[in-house]
Amino acid sequence: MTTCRTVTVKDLPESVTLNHIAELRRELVPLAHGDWPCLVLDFSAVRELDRAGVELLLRTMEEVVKRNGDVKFAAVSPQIGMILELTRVDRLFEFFDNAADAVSSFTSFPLVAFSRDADENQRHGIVQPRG
Amino acid sequence: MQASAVLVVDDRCLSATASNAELAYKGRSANKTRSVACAEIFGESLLSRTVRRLRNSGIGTISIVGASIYPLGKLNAGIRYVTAPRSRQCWPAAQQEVMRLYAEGVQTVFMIGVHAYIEWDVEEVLRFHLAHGLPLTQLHDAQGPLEVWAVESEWFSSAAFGCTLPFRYGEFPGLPISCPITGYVNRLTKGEDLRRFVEDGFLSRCETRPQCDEVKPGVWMEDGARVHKLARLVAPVYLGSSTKVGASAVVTRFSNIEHHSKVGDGTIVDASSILPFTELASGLEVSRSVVQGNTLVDVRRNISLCILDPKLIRDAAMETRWKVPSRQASRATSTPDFTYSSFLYRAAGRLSQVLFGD
Repeated sequence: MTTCRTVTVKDLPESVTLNHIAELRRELVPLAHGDWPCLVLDFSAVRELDRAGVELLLRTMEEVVKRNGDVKFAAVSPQIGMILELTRVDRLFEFFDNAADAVSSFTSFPLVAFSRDADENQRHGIVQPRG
Repeated sequence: MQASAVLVVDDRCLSATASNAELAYKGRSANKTRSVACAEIFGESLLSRTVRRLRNSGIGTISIVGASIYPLGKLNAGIRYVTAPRSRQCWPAAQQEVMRLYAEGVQTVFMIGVHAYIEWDVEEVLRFHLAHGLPLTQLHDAQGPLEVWAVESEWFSSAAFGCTLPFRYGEFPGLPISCPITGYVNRLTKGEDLRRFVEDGFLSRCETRPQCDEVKPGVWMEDGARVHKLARLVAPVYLGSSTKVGASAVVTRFSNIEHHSKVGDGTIVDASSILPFTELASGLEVSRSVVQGNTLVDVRRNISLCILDPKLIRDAAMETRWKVPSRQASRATSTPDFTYSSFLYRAAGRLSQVLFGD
């Protein structure tokens, strides 16, 4: 089984929008490099997300996957979850209640987290976001 | 253990409303190996799992009554096949088989209609049956009776000769005795049931789970599975042997791609089961469905659709005969017409744009 050496947790800012993309991109690019980058994006502070922000997430995923890594989302609020669902990118990522679950998912399949999802939402792979 | 088993495999498939004449005409699966019993989940069929459970419990003699020979690999040893060309002939053939076993001295026979996935303790059920001293016992769970009976072959060949099969409650006073079980049961009657079975397997809610290597947490891949480096697999996902996932394809949300299936470039498989020898073309989105060959069952709507266009979904198990009216003969050429191909290319291009900003 492929495992990551270290998992990086990145707390995203309140606004992941066009006006803030440049700075955020500068922070994310180095995280997506290296061998097998394992990245957790913590959405607990995110209140705004637009199309530019979604594209940045996709480009980050692209860079990470190219290097045999993975990127996962943690603590996505219902509102942000809806935007991800509208843009149909929700199916491209794994979602977790919190960063700790996301980090541990890089080493073992998180049965508890996925079971909780399946029971509460009946929408597989989408975590019940914190309000 | 002084018991044998007779397994009845008819051509029952997932029930759903047929949404086109082709499927309605065919009715039950025209391909006998497409029955629910033969549907492979995580690389093993329901029939194979049933045989394995019986073997592990010490049942040495197993007979399979059905329309064809079902390859069971290493489990094939000691299996006696009894062919019944039509579904309605299966249970009478099973009756004959029980009588043959009686003649060979077998006392107790498990008669099993292989439709549901049942986790049951064979030895415990046999003890229950023998302890009650009555000739017919049937398994029950919280939802009702199951098509698993323990029957005394002597009684079956005499007092019960010519009875209705499968057994009906009340035909014989006080029979069958109900044997309650508390193990996992999935009746696999609809596509929704099969999808739930897959999810439960991923979540270890039942004994069924992928047996191959977990290449990364939540991603199981059998030997020979090939995944394009630009494809996206979102756990939990299972890929069977000799599967192929194309560029920019996405397999996500508890999906399983069974052996010898193919996912075309840019196609999304979302919360779906792609059963063996199914080829999905490029640029499609298969969501909450069960696809077997060229038959797609929409789980949410419980509608089944037979797709005649091999450029969308193709049955790779057999040569697909695609008959079209003469006025649509132009679609039968190897080159898709402009409208058709442009849709697919736009769909694939849109996904590529979303993913990679092309």
